[in-house]
Amino acid sequence: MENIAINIYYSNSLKINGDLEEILFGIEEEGLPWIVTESEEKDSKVLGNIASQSSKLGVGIGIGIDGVTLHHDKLEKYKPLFTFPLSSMKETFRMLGMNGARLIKGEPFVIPKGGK
Amino acid sequence: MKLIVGIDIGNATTESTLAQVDGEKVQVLSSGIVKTTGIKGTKENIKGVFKSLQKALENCGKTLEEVSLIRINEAAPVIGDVAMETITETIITESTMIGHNPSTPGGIGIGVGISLPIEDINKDHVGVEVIALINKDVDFQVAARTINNLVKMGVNITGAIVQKDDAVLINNRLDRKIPIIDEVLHIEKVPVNMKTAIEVSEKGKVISMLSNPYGIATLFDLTPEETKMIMPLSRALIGNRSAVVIKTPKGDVKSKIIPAGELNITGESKKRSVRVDRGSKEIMSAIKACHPVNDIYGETGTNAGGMLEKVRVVMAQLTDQNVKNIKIQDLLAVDTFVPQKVVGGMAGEFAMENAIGVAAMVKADKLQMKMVASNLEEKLDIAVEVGGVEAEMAIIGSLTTPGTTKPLAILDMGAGSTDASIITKSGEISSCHLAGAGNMVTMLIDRELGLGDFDLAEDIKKYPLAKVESLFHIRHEDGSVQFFDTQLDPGIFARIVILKDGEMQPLEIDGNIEKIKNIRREAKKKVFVENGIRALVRISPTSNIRDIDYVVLVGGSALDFEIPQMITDSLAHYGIVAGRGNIRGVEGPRNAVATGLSLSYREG
Repeated sequence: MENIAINIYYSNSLKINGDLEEILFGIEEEGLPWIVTESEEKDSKVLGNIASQSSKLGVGIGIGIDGVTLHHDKLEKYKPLFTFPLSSMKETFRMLGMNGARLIKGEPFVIPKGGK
Repeated sequence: MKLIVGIDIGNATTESTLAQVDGEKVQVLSSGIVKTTGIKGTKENIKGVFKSLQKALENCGKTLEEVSLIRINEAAPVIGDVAMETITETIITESTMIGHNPSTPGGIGIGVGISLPIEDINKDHVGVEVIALINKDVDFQVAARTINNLVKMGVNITGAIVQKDDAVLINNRLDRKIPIIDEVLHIEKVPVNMKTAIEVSEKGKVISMLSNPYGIATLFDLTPEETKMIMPLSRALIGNRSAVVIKTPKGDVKSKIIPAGELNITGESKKRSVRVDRGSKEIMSAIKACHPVNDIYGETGTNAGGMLEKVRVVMAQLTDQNVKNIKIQDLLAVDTFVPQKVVGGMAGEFAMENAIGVAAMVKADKLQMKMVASNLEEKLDIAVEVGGVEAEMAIIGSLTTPGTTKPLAILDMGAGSTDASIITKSGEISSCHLAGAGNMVTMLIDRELGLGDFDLAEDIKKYPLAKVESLFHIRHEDGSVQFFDTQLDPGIFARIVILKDGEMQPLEIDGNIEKIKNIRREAKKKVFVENGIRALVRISPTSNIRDIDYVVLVGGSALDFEIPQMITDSLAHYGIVAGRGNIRGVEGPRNAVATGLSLSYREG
C-alpha cells in the first residue's frame, strides 16, 4: 500500500538547513505522517504542485530555491495556499507544517506573519 | 389637492410617508427611510427628518416646495435599558488548576507527582514521582532526551507541563510515554514543589478523573470536608480533554461574594419582594401580580440593587432627569448561563455560571416632540404638527396590510421596547409598552458567548451562520452546502462565519455552530415570545389571549429572519393568526407609524 501522507518535494540544488526540519516537526505535532522526496525541479510553486498531486491526502509542500510553498491539489499550479521565503523564522516553518496538517484535519490555520 | 408627509422618528430609524390629499381621499405616493440622528426626541433628529423627507420626495419626483404639511408622531414616552448579573460564582481556594484544551496534548492517562522545572530535576529525586515543567527555552529534543535520561537514572517522571506546542513531539521521543499538557502560556505561574495531578484523555473523549470530585479526592487523599471545597474546581474542569490540578496551601485565594439580593416591586395596590436567585419565573409572576407597577428597586449593596441602579443612572442621563425621579415601570427577567472567569484558575479558565438578565423600562418626561416640531417648522418653513399617539398611528398604518381587518392587535418589536396595541371593531384603541426587545437579545447573545462586543453580538443576532469546510465550500447552519469556484480566504478556513451581506465574517469563538445557533435562537425566544404573550394578555379586552384573532408584527425586529416565525408558531397554539406586517402591501413591517400619520390626516 502506498503511504498516506503529506508529501514534501525539495530541490536538489538546495542545501537544506536545520530550520527547514521544523516543517516536519510541525506536521508531526499535529499527528500526521510525511514523505520527503528529492527533485530536479527548482521552482517552489511547481514543487508544491507536484507534491500535492502525488499526495493521497492532496496536500504538498514544495521547497525550492525561491522559497517554500504549501499547496493543495485543487489549487492552480502557480497559486499555492501559502508562500514563504527561505529566510523565514524557524517558527514560520513550524507553522507551515502545522497548517499543512490542519488543512487535512479541517482546523483553523495558525497564520504566521510575513506570508502571502 | 395638497401634499402631506407623515414622519416617524424612532429609536433606530426615521421613516416618512408622502401622501396626496384630495378631500376625503388620501393616496400614498412614496416613502423614505434613514437612520435616526441623535437620541429620539432631541434637536439632533432634524437632520435625519430632513434626509428621510428628501428620500421620499426623490422617490416620487416631487419637491419640498409642494409639501404643505408635516405630521410627526407623539412618541411613546418610554425608554428602556438592559443589564445582567451573575448569581453564582466559582472560587477556588485550596488548589489551583489548569483546565484548557490544547489542540494536540501528548500521551494518555493520569500522572501524579511533585511539580519541578526540568532543569532542577536530578539524582536527588531518584524514586520520587515528578511532574516536569518545561518552559519555552527548552527545545523539545533536549526535553525528551533529559526525561529519558532521568527515567533511566530512576526518577519516576509521571507527566509534563509544556509551554510551547510540543507535547506530541516530546512524547514521540520518549522511551516511556507519559501524559503531557502543552500550550500553557503562563507556565511560570505553576507553583513549584507542589503535589500535582495531570490528566490527558483519548482523542474524542473528555477527562473523567479530575472532573470528578471523588477522583480528585482519590489522587490527593482528601477528607470529606476537603472534597467539598474542591467541588467547584472539578465542575470547572468538566468537558476538557486535558487538565492539571495542583494542591496548594490553604487560603491562596480569597474573594468576597456579593449576595444576589431582592427585587422590591411596588404596584398601585400591591407590594411584592422576590429574591433574584429564585429565577426569572418567580420574578415575572411577582411583577404580574403587582400590575400596574409604579416602581421596582433592588436591595442596596446587592447585585440586584447594583443592576437596577445602573439602569437608573443611564436612564437619568438619557432623559436629563434626576436619578431619584426615574421610576421603573416594567421589567423583563430572563434566566441565562454566562461564562465567568474562575477565581483561582491559572490559565483564565471559565465556568458557566447562572445569571439573570433584565430589561427595564422607565417612563420619561414627555419627549420633546413639540420642540422638535417647532424647530422643524422654522428650518423648513412648512407647517408641522404633532399628529397623534404612536400606538394609534401604528395600528392605522398596520391595517393597510393586505388580509387584515378590525379588530386587530399589533406587536411593535423595536430595539428598546415591545409595544402592543389593539383596535376593536368600533375603533377603540388601547396599548401597552413592555421592557425587553432587540437590544436585550443582543445582550444575551453577547454575554452567553462571552464576546464583550455588542456590535459583533448584533451581527450574530441578525445573520445566519455557516462553517467553512474546505477551501472551496461552506456548510450553512441548516446543513446545505455551497460551493465556490474561487479559493476562499485561508483566514476563514475551518472557521464559523457570519454570512453578512454576501460577505463571510469569521468568528473567533470556540465551540460548534450548533451551540451558537442555539444561543441565538433561545435568546430570541426568551425575549420576544415571552414578551409577545405578555403584551397580548395585557391588551386583550378580556385579559385572555385567546380572544385576540389577528396579530400583525411590525417594527425593526419583525425584519429578523427568524423572530416572526417563532412568534407565528407560538401564537398558533392560542388560535391566533400572527404574521409579519406588509404595510400598504409594499413596505414590509416598516413604515407603519409614518403611514398612519399621513392616512389619519383629515382636512379642515
